[in-house]
Parts: sequence; C-alpha cells; structure tokens
Amino acid sequence: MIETIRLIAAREITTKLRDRAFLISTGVMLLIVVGSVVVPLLLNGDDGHPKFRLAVAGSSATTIGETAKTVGAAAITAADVQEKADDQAGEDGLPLVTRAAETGVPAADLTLVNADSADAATALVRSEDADAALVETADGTLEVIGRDEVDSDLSTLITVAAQADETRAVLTEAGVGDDVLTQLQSTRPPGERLLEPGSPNEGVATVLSFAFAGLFYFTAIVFGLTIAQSVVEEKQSRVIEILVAATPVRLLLAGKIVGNAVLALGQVALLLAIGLAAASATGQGAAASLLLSSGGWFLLFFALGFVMLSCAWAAAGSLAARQEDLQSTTMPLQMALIIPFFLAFSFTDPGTGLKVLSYVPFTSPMSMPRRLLIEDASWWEALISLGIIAATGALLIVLAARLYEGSLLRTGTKTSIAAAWKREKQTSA
Amino acid sequence: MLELDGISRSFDGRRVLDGISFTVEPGRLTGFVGSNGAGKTTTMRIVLGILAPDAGTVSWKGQPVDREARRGFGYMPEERGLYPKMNPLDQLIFLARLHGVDAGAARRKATDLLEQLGLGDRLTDKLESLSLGNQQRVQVAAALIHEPALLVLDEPFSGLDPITVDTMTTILRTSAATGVPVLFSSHQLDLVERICDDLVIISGGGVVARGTVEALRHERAGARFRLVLGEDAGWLRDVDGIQVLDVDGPKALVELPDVSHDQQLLSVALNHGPVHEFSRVIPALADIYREVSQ
Ligand SMILES: Nc1ncnc2c1ncn2[C@@H]1O[C@H](COP(=O)(O)OP(=O)(O)O)[C@@H](O)[C@H]1O
Ligand SMILES: [Mg+2]
Repeated sequence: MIETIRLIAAREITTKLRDRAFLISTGVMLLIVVGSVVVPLLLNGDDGHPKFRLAVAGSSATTIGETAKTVGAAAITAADVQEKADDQAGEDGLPLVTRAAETGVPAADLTLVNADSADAATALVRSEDADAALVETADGTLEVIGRDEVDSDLSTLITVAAQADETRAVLTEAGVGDDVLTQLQSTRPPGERLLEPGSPNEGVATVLSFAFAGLFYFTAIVFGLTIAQSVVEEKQSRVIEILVAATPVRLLLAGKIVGNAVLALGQVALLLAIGLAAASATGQGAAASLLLSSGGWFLLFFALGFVMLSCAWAAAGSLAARQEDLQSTTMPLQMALIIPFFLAFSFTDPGTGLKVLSYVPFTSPMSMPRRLLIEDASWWEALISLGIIAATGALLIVLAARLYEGSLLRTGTKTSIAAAWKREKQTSA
Repeated sequence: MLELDGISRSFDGRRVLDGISFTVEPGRLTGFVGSNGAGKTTTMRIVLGILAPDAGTVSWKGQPVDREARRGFGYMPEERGLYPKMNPLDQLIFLARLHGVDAGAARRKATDLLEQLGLGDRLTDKLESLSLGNQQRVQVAAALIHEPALLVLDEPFSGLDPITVDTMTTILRTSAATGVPVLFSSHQLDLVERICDDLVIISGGGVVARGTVEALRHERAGARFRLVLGEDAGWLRDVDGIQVLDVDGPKALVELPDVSHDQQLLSVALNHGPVHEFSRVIPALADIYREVSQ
C-alpha cells in the first residue's frame, strides 16, 4: 500500500520535474527571491547605508566636508554597534533599545571630490559626477548646490558639520584646549530605553509575512491546478481505467496528493533557503534570523494548509471530463483561496480581525504566521490553529475522496457534484 | 480458471446484466460476443473490480476474487489510452510496478516486450509522438507487462489494421499457450470463429449460448443439406416431407424433419439423376448469433 502511494507520488514528481514550464517558473521565483533581497542593497550600497559624493571647492568648504565625512562614518559605526546590541538584547529578552543612530546624525558614507573652483564643482553636480556640491560664494558664505534636490541626509550632515566647526572655532577662540575639544566631540548622546517597545524588526517582519502569504496563495493555486490537471489528464486519456483496475482509487488519490505536496513543499523550502542564504550572504543578519525562526512555523502551516486543499483540488479535477472543464469545476476552490488572500492582506495589524482570521482554516495559513512574526501570538495559539486546519482537512478529504471516487470513471461528460456524490456502487474496493 | 456466477447489474434502475454465468478455462481463448450495449464491457469491468455487481460472484481458482488476485490480471479496456506525455518505457515500468513487479524486472520486461512489438527504437519517445498503430502496440504491452495470470481484453481487434490484427492474434494465442485463461470481446464474428476456442454469447442481459465453437455449431446445425445435381433442382419442391429453402439452377438447400432422413433424400435424388454434391450444412457463427440473439 505504501509502496503504491510512493510509486504514484514518484510518477507525479518526475513528470513535473521534466516539465519545462515548471522548471522555468521555479527558476523565475528563485530569481525574484534573490532579487528582492539583493536589489534594495544595491540601491542603498552594500552595507545598507547611503553613499554620497560631495564636490567641495574652497578651504572652508573642504574643512566642513571633511567633518561631515567623519560624522557620517561615526554614525555608521554607531549604527552597526547598535544592531549587534539589538540582536543580543533580543536573545536575552531585554527590552533595552539604545538607538544612537536616532540622535539625528544620519549614517552615511561620504566621498569628497575636490574641485578647483565653484564653477567646476557645479559642473560636477550637473554632469552627475557628484550628488551635491559645497562651495564658497563670492561673499564668503557657504552654499550647497544640488541638481533637482539635495538629499535630506546629506543636507543634515553638512549642517551638523558646519555647526560643529563653528562651535569649535568659537571655543578655540575662547581659549579652550584641544584635549577638551576632543572630549566634547566624543561625548555620546544619551541612550534611549523604551518601556513598551514595538516588536523588533517591524519592517522586516511585515515584508516576510507578506512574502509568506503570497507564497502560500500562489503555491496553493499553482499546485492545486496541477493536481486537478493531472486528474483530468488521466480521465481524458482514459488511462484511468487501467489504473483503477490495478489499484484502489484511494491510493491513487493519496499518491497524487503526496507527490504534489512534496513538490510544493520542496519548492517553498528551496525558496526560503535561497532567501536565507541571500540574506546572510549580504549581511542582513536581522532578516536572516527572523526567517530562520519563523520559517519552520510557516512550513508547518503551509504543509497542512496545502494538504487540506489538495484533496478538494483532486475532486474538482475528477468532476471535469476535459481540461477545458477545469475552469468551471475549480471555480469554487479558486474563490476559497482568493477571498481569504484578500482578507489576509486587509487585516494585518494586531486586532480582532487578524485574530479571527488566524483561526479560520482558509486564512490561518496566511494570518497566523503573520501574528507569529510580529509576536502577536504565542506557540500554543499556533498549535490550536494548526489543529483546526488538520480537522478541516480531514473532513474535506473524506468529502472530496467520495466525489473523486464517484466521478473518476465518468469519462464522457462533466459530472455534477450531486451525481458524483450518489456513487451508486461505482467501485467495489 | 475464472468463474462468473449469477452476475447482475443495473444502471439507474435499468437492468443491464441479469444472472450472467460462464467460465474461462486456463489455456483457452474465450470469445465474448454480444451486440452493442449487451453488457460485455460492464461484465469485464466487474471481473476487474472496476464496477461492483449488484448480485453474483466472480471466482478465481475457486476462491472469490480479491484485490490481490486482481493485481495479477491483465486488462485492455475498450476505451484505449495511456499517459500521452510519458514515453512507452517509463509508462510500462510504472504500470508493471503498480501490479507489484519489482523495478529491475519491470525494466527488463518492458524493454523486451517493446522490442518484440517492434518498438525497440521508440522506447523513450513521448507516446503522443507515436503513430496510432504503435500506440495500440504499447497498449497491448500494457496489458501483458506483468505477465498476467488472466488476460481480459475488451474489443482488442477494433480499430486495428490487418497486420496488427495478426500480431494481436499471435499474442492472444501465445498467452493462452502458456496456460493463461484469455477472455476477449468482439463483434467481428468471423474473427472470433477463426481464433477462439470457447464462445460465450450474451443477449438481453443473459448468456444465450456457450461452449466450444465446434460444439455450438453442430448443436445448432439442425438438418440442413446442400445438393448439387446434374440438372435443374426445381423438382425438389414437389417432394413430400422436405422443406426447400433455396433453389438456384442445379443447386438446392433443403431442410429435413430430422438428420436421420438424409439417406432417403439421397436415394430419391439419385433415382432422379446424377448427384454431384450432397453435404450437411453446419451454420456459421454469424448464423447462430443471429438466431440466438433475436
Ligand atoms: N456507468 C454507466 N452508467 C449508466 N449506464 C451504463 C454505464 N455503463 C454502461 N451502461 C449501460 O449499460 C449497457 C451495457 O453497456 P456495455 O457494457 O458498455 O455494453 P457493450 O460493451 O456490450 O457494448 C448500455 O446500455 C450502457 O448504456
Ligand atoms: Mg463495450
């Protein structure tokens, strides 16, 4: 019996793995995952901080440019230290959040380009060789020149640097020594401590939960249709009669579901693994660790949710006589996925709506992982939700298996649900 | 030996089979004949367990047939078809393994069988790319791949070209020669008459005739005689006690009240003139069939 299921599942899998369309679509999905991790980094620079090229002309502009560069670099260091501290705080469960990076100094990587004159610096901006220029005007004041705008981070950095230099000049004039100045500059702003911190990595969590919901929805539809098509193919080609003569209908159904579930789960696990690898390779530690901790839950919900639906997909397939009938026989199922998909995307903030959806079997594979990600639900809530999916799945499997058995041998025309349900002793075993 | 006993089956309240009983003996080709809609396919599906009977039993080797026994049966359904996008080799290996053959043996057997059927160079082409005739051959191979203990073929000759008909005949004979009971349905009576050993005719939901082809023909032969005389045979119409069915110049076909009256008829004819031919007419299967299935 197990051997028969394995055999049928293996046929489903090898058939699919030889299907060019399937291989191509998997490849495209892999590219999308890698792209969505890497592209934002390329846009931001590989360490995640913005990079600017600032053209400077004149000695005071150069001095302030140097200071801005130093301040920006210091903020980068502070932010990195902070990230590590956050990670550790998360592990220790300490709600201590000290955000040096939020003290107003943007973390940015500045490169200075020396220009001979204000005109030369302006030309650099115009030719897009510099993001902005800092020049001395004829009356001795400083001016920042941008093309259509000056990035606010860059502008803030220059302002901070100008103020610092001004302060330094005033203090030096007042006779304050260099050592005191150095001490003043290295003074760290006070850290912050939140009494009721929001969940850490809010942004990453949101992106991930949308990705999970999207993955569940698309995979359930794509592989669901695959199951339905594979059932119709056997009916339409008439090979079904040989299969039914050789093996009980229920094993046929079980093998089909196991085969496609393995494929679907394998594909999703592969996508998650690639996402994880891409995130850690590009130094996005927070995203990687969140993915690692929540991926397991997601896969669990995915697997149970998929099996719950797959039997219904097989039944929808068996009601059709030809591939063209699938459009209508799978309609109820497509609805049963599309509506929950939109609901799950409408209720994403903690609240009654999200809570209810996280227990309703068709939305819970999308909504419960979301709650787990934003730490709105604990593990036992997830287990209850999984239990509800399993129970619904068991019920659906019994109903769908009966429809499948009742319609499998009606190869002539589309079978109505009522006719399939009657079953009048179609098969003996 | 396969034995059907009192098989009945209705669809939507309409009784299609009403107490069908017959046997298929080891090593014999049994032809299963009946008009369209007589219930041949339904009967075969019941044998294979694809449909359940409303009443009656199917036995195999004296035991009610079960799942395990059925796994050893080979079946070629009336509605042909295999996986269109799978190649013949993988297809046959898959089906053999569904019937419980292990992987290595399945591969060997599939390769052998396809080579035997002249498909040795098409092993890994998609089935749908083969000609219709070659697809039929793969279909035959699918029924034989697990060396079945019983072979059931529903209209195996329909749609075959004459050469493939001969191949099919050879395959059926070879299978039967190894001691396998073979049951096949057909409405091509000349073919059935030529190749089968036993015959089962169904009509109106029941078996109307069964037995060896020879026995059936003699059983139903009656007392019909053919004469070829030296002159016009019209005078036979005036002979008392015989029924003249047909006269065509010197040839005549007559029916006697009993076979034992044959010598009397012969001497009357000889008294009248020369007799070139005098023979009993054994009806062809088609005649019997027409008679019993009215
Ligand atoms: N699944 C079914 N549902 C309803 N009627 C059926 C079914 N299968 C066969 N029949 C009916 O049973 C009768 C016998 O059909 P069948 O066994 O296919 O005859 P044959 O093979 O001798 O041509 C036909 O009248 C057919 O319409
Ligand atoms: Mg038929």
